[in-house]
Amino acid sequence: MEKDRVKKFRIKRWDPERASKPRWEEFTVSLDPFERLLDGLIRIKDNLDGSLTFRSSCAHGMCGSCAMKINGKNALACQTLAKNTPEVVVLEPLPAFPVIKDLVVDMDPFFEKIGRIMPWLLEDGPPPERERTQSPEEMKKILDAIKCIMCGCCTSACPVYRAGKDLYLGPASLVKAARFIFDSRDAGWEERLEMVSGKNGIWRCHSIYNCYEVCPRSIDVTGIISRLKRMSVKKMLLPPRRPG
Amino acid sequence: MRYGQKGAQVRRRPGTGFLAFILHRGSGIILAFFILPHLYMLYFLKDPARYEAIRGVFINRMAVRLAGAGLLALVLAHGLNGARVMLLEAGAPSRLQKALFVTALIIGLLLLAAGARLMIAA
Repeated sequence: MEKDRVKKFRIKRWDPERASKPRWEEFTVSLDPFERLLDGLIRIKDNLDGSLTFRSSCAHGMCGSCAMKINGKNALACQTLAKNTPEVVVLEPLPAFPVIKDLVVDMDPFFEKIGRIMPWLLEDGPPPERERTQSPEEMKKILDAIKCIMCGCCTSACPVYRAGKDLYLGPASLVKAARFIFDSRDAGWEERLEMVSGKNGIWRCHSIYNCYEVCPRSIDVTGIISRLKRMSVKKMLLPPRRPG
Repeated sequence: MRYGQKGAQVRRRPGTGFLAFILHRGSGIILAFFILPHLYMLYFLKDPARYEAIRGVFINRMAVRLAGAGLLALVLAHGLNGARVMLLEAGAPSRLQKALFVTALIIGLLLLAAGARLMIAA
């Protein structure tokens, strides 16, 4: 192994069905500077320890499956190049979610929260004969929010979510809500806005910006939540109209 | 390297937003604990002569003046951080959040230096 290519993977491993607490294990692999950490994990699983468990699917930053805590910061293993990491790479499962095994966490609570905001288009009339069209200007209003791949990095990095995970909807759910609230084709914006303006929605966000800093898709998560806050105030003070 | 290591686990240095939140929340809680007894005391202190007598006892003590400077620091930390959050929630771009925190910190320190100098010298 070439010395400059050697990476030490320090991985937090835990099988809650077999052990009472997690343990740390180290693996040494050789990685090209332009290979991703996911390549290292696959190499470990293929050659060193087949029992290492992690999720991966697209390997191109589009599915969000390989979200994990990398050197203390939530990120996608498939987006993190070896050259941008120190010699020792510390990998942990996403915090705030229950661990299933090793780097795999139970995302059910996360998707349950997203489900609460009704993440589908609501119509108030008969379906059109062809597709539902939008102008480029209308599309720009949701351009940032539609980039979300629901990896959970933002929600798991949010200290408010971690403090009250049974209550707070979390940043990803609020971004998903914004994606429909600002969508010109959606007829349920008032209902959705009322839901996210409730006690477990936008007003629990303290603008800490952890979500904004970790988002692997560079979505302005806190900015979108602030936009929802402004709209909620406007809706309270002004006659209801389609948000701008 | 941006990350400090503690044992096997890597602890990420808290972000600017988190520091600002802790500063804002912490100063708010301390101010609430100060303001409530302060207002309670003022409400029952209706005799002007007695008020002046108590004020006279406190105003000349250096410890009280330093505490006054500390109170000013708390008010500045809370107020300027509140203004920063209001600006960001009113639509200031998120990319400015760190710059706004640093600006608030510099303004706060300048005002504190000027205010504390006056308070301690008075």
